[in-house]
Amino acid sequence: MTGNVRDSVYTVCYTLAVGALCATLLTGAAQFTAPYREANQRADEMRNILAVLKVSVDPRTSAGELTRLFDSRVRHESIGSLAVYRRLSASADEGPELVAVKVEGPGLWGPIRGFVSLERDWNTIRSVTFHDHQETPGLGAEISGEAFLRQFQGKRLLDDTGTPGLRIVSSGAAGTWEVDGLSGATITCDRVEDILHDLAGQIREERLWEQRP
Amino acid sequence: MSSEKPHPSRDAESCGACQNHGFCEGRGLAVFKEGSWTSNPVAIQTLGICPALAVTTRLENSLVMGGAMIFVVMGSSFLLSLLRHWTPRRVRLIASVAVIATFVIIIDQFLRAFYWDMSRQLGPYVGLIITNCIVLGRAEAFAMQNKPQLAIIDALAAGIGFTAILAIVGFFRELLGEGTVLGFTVLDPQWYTKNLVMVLAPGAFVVMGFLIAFFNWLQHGNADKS
Repeated sequence: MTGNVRDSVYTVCYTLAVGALCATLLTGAAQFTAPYREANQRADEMRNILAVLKVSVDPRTSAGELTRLFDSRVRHESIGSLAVYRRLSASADEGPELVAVKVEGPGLWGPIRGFVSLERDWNTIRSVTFHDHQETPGLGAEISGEAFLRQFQGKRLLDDTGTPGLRIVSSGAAGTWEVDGLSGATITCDRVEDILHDLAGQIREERLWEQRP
Repeated sequence: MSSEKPHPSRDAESCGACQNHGFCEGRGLAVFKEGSWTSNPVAIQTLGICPALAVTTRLENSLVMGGAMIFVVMGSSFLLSLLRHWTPRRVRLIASVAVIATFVIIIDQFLRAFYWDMSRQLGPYVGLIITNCIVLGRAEAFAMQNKPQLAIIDALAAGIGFTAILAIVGFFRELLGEGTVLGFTVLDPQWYTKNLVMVLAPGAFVVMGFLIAFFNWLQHGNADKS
């Protein structure tokens, strides 16, 4: 009996020791890599904002150059709870003003984060990205795929009465307020729809849409 | 690990040569050849097929995945071999998985820090090394019964065997699917039509099938299949 107890105590101590060893290794690695990982995440966010604002960036641009480009071309401001990134025009032929808005919401497995760029009317979508999510590879993860995102161009967030109206339908999307969903990823698509509805609601609340009927 | 063949040469604590001839001179080579060639983890034991199919769309991805694998299998085998005399039998699997998971998370964080694009492309597959049978297989079948020096050689052999297969599959899929090798154009798009099938999952199965058949033929020749 005492032998058994001693065995158990030993096993518990061993497990604690191995756990502590693993935890130490992990903490060390996490501490060491944290600044680099955060810098990469910031750079990735900047690239995505520039992408939805249609500012072309060389994929090999270094982090420093990217920050300079970002600072010279994008102005960050907050309107209510919205994080807004305005494109500063570099030349006249770049077309009308564009704004990008940060969007965020729960997905199937974890949060989905992205950016939506809108035309002057704060309603017509120019471009959408979902750069950070944990959706199922091959199914829900296709929300960051080109084929899905391309559909959003020219669609509208709010319908004519000012209610959030953009829908992700299972098939046969038609018109200004419908986008084809992804098969096998119904929940993810519903969550994306919710995220866009939230954005539409906030835009209406901040009276950004009513300003330009 | 039921698909694993028994290794008569790998009995416990037989690294006797170490005392006289430096770094496992006697058995090191045999263990290396066995681990990387005679019982190659992917082509012969058909373990670790999931990443071998999933990340081999390009040669570079295959090599990085292989490198991550070598790091994890060497690190975990070494540590578990060091701990082998103190590890109680009934918690040995939990201890193995904890140690393997630690090394996987470390390499995942390093990829995120210094190889961001690649880390995005490999997606969940670096994390999934935790569940890779090769790592746990080497820990259970070898590291826990042998000295650290020999365990490291065995782990390196398994890692290199894995990487080599991934590199071969990645090479053919990138060459035939995109006409490039490591990003450099080899097959001119003017006369070569890119074969999309090779980039998609079926291409991986086809290349893998040929490779396993080739290895079988190489090692067993035309001997009957019984």
